[in-house]
Formats: sequence, structure tokens, C-alpha cells
Amino acid sequence: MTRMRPWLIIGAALLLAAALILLVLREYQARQAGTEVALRVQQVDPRSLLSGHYVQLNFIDAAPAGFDCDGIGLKPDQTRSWIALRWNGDHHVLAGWAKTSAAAAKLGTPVLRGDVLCLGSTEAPQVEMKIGIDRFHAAQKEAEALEALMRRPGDHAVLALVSVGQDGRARLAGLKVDGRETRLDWFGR
Amino acid sequence: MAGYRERLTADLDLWIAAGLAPAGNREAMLAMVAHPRRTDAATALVLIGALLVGAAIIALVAANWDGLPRLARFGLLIAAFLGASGGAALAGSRGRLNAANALLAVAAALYAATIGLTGQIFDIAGDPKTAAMGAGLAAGLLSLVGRSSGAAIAALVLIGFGDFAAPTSGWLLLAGLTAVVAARCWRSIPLAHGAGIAVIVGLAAAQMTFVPDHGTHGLQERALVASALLAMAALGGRWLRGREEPGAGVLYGWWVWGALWAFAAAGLSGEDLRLVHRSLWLLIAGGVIALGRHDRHALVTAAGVAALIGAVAAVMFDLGLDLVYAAAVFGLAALAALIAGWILRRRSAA
Repeated sequence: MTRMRPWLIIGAALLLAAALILLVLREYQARQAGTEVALRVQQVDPRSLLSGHYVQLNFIDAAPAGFDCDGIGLKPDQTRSWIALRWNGDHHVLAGWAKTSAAAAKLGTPVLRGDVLCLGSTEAPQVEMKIGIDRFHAAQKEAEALEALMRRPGDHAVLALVSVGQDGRARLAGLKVDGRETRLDWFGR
Repeated sequence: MAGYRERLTADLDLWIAAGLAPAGNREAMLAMVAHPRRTDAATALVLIGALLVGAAIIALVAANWDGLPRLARFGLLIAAFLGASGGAALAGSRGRLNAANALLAVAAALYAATIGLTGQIFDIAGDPKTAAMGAGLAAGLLSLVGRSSGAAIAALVLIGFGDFAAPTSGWLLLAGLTAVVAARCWRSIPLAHGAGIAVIVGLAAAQMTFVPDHGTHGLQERALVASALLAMAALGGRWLRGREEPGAGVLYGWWVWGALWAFAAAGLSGEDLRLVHRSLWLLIAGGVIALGRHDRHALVTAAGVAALIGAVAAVMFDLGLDLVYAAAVFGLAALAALIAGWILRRRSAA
């Protein structure tokens, strides 16, 4: 091995580590700078042998009145569209979707990138928002506590706290179950 | 199995007894051959101790993983990666090239794990393809700066995973061809093995990505084209092997396997020209066995034998023979081969 090579290895390793740290910092900054919305979540499955403990997040809600949901499933022209939200008392709901952010902004704010999937029956349609977030990783005890909380009888408000960035990307900021918040921060577990 | 020195000692004694070599040169000739490296008990115990310490640290961290703050978990991962890379640099500077190679492979694997776990720790949504490709590129960079075949093989595996994550892409073929060049320049046989396999798998991924799918016939055509390309590559490898290019023999062997596998796949998904395909399969398998024996290349011979077994099994399946008949046919064929071998051995002994 030449004299230079060990230094090249150290340089490359530092570069790679710096790239990863930069990625985390940028994601954190984007999460902090974004507009926070609260979206209703349904169904939980807090364990996965391969991926650790997490809460599965499905953003399912009743379709807004007059929403064009004349067929079940994802329409081809709905892919990579923009979703518009609006505030509905205690959480945000779907206001509509459009092909461009400008068109979506006319339906409601904030707007974020994602697809809309129609579910249920045509009489009582539901919509699922696909926004690139599908799980919330948590420590084992926390995941089990969240599961126990959500499995208690009665109607529970499970909300995902989502930060919508300037780029329209949704980033998970935390989870709120029956008013109890679990936030993603540097020193949290 | 006796080492080279033991075999040479035995041969030398025979040559001296036959008067072919002077007895006075025995010690001088043997002194030119180094004693094989042996690990003494103390070194073995130190190695076992180091492994157990490593296992204990991993178990301790795993037991407390959930209790650690996010930042601490991330810091531990980065520290482990930098530790492995620093260890590789240190080992390399002291001339311990095998240790440096192994530590760089560990560093590449740790970086891939760190990418995945960082997404989990900070709940950063990302797509698996980008993560695998990023980890593959990082491993490739480490392999290039450290001249590490282990990290290069890790890069091939990660890029392969990335290629097959939706939507498929064709980067593994490019990475595999680069690895072929690196294996030749670094005179690395393990990397030649990795590169040979990567080119075969990468070709399949590239075909899935760039060649439009036209159903069964499309699959057959793609497999036949892949078989022809790999056969040509194998011929190139054979030619380079004749020129004693490092690693060429390994590439020759794997590409023969790839060409035969692709040829077999070309006939498994359709009715058309089945008889022609099966006949050619048997013929090619026999030819490859003869080629492998002629070139004294075990990997090529083994590919031919495997192809022959596959072809015979496919023909029997086509004819609708059940497993009892199949066992009888294989048994008779094995008996005939054993009898022929025994007769040939007796003739050569006479």
C-alpha cells in the first residue's frame, strides 16, 4: 500500500460520514421550517421483526363532499399530483387534488406532493392520501404503549404531525394520540 | 491436503533416490520454499478474544439501543463506520493488506447499514432504490481509494439490490464491467468471481430495463441474446486465460455458466421449437464438458455437467416421464458411465 493510500481512505470515510450528517441536518432543517399539519391516521401494526418497532400510518379519512371519487382505486392521471388540505376543527382534511401546485392551492392550503386513493363504497367513499410517509419508528416500550392506547375501546383521535416543506414534500414530525404528543427530536428516543 | 512444501519434499526425496538430483542440494532447494504460514495457539486465542469482545459490545449496544437518544444512536453508527475505515487505513499503513481489505469491506457494510438505520432513527422517508445505490456508490469509493476487493464486492451486491428495486435499472452491468477491469489491475481472484457473476446478473437487469417486454417470445429472445453475448464474453475470457491474464480463467468459467443458464431459460417458457432447443442444449452441454476437460478448467466442466443434467431432466419432463422412470434413467446412465470409466482405467493400466 502506498503512503498516500491510508490518507485517501481516511479522506473518503470522512467525506461519506459528512454526507450522511449533512443529509440528516438538511432533513431536520426542512422539517423545522415546514408548515405543520395534523392528519388523521387509521390502523396500527406496531411491530416488524425486520424493521424494528413502528406504528404503521395510513392517512384515511372520509372523502370531502363533492369530491370526484367515481371509481375505486388510484386513477392513472392522479399519480405525482398535488394534494390540497384544509383545517377541519382539530385536524387537516383533504380539500382536493390537482396536477400542479398552483391549481391545488386554489382548493386549499397548504399543498403537498402525493396521490389520492379512493376506498370504500361509492355511497360512503373514503380517501387515502399517499404522501411518502408510511411509518413512525418508536422504541419498543413506546410502540407498545401507543398500541395499547389505540386499542382501548372508544373512538381515539390518532393524528400524525406532518411538516410540509417549501418543496411540497411531507416529513414526519411526530404523533399525537388522544392529546399525547410524541415528537421527533435529537435527544428523544 | 499436503501443502506445496510437503509435496516438494516428498518429490525431492524420490528424485534424489533415483539419482536425478544431488543429495547435497536438498536442504538448499527446500530452503528456497517458504514454510506455510501457521497460526499459533496464542494468536488464535487473541483472535477469539477479539471476536468475543466485539460480540459483547454489539450485544451491549443492542440491549440498550431503544434506550439511547436518537443522536447517540446516530453517533454510534458513524463512529463504528469511521472506526472500521480508520482501522483499515492503519492496517494498510503497516503493510497488513488482508486486514485492510477486510476492514474496508466491513466499513462498506456498516455504511450501508447506517444509511438504512439513519432513515429509521430520524424517520426520514426515502426510497429503497436510492438508499441501496447510495450505499453501493459509497462502497465503490472505499474500494477504489483502498484498493479493496472486499469493498468492491460489497458495492456490486448493493448496486445489484438497487437495480432490482422498482423501477429496475441497468447500473450493475456497468459496475460489473468496471469490476472486471479492477480485478485484472489488482490481480484479485475474489473480485474476478464477483465481477463475473455481476456481469451475468447485470445483463439480466439491463435487459429487463432497456428491452421492451413482448411476452413469452420476448423473454425467449432476450434469453437467447443474453446467452450469445455471454458465450462471446466467455470466448474472450478463454483467449485472455491463454495469455495468462490474471482472473481471466475465473471470468471464463462464470460466463460459460451464465451462457448455459440463459440458453436453458430461453426454452423454458414456450412450446415453439422445443425439440430444436432441447437437442441444441444436449449438444452444447456435451461440447462444454469436452471444452472444460480440454482446457483443464473445473468450473467450465462443472457447468457442462450441470447443463447436461438440466437438459436430460427437461427432456424427460417434456416426455411426461414420472420420477420413478427418471430415477431409473439416471441410474442406468450413471452405471454406464462408471463401467466405461472402469474399462478405460483398466486399459490405461495395461
